[in-house]
Amino acid sequence: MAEIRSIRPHWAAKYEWSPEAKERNCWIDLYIHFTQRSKKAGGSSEKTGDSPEKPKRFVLRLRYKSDFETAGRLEAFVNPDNLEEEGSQYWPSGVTGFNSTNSPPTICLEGTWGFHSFHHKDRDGRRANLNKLLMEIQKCLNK
Amino acid sequence: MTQKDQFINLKVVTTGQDLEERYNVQEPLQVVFNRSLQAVGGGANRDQFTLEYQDQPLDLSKRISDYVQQFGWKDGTVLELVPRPEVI
Repeated sequence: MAEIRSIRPHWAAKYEWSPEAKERNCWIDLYIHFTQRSKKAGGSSEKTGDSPEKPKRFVLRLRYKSDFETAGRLEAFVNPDNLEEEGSQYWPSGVTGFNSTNSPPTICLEGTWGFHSFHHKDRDGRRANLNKLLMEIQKCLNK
Repeated sequence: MTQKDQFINLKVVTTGQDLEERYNVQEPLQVVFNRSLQAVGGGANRDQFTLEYQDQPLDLSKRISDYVQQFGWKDGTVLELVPRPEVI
């Protein structure tokens, strides 16, 4: 799929996203690995004196159905050790815009299903850029 | 300062296309930022991006030469045009 192949190598290498696509019967799943490097989870603690925590791993699954361009890419965090398992327990907590308690859980960033089909149905998804979405998610996790 | 020292090739990695262009070091970094925005849809997106070097936001009002002195920028130095998450 052209969009998945468009993931920029610079960003993927820098943040170790390791993108992986799996073709299913009716859709394509894109898995992106994220590492949360905030000061709350393994970032620099020199200034605060806080003890650093181990960086946290998350795997985001973006599900591409036939209407993804307008409806958005259906988002879910999955078990990093078993990509077939999903659930709110695998979502990062305390991250602005990440609504793990919604049903279904959503990410309120342009390009996701949650944004275009749940929170902001009036916003056209066709201009959303996958690289921008992934960078925004990375930035949210790093805050 | 030699003619060669007055110009620098900077590469900007964006979420669209990358740009590598030659700039007069006396220009403000705003010029680099404006050029880079064109790769991600133009000036309407101005508030949605920051220009960064090694994960630090850059002051667009400073001259390129200021950062050449501060960080030792040379031809081929890579900057990043990074989106600001817009959670609404």
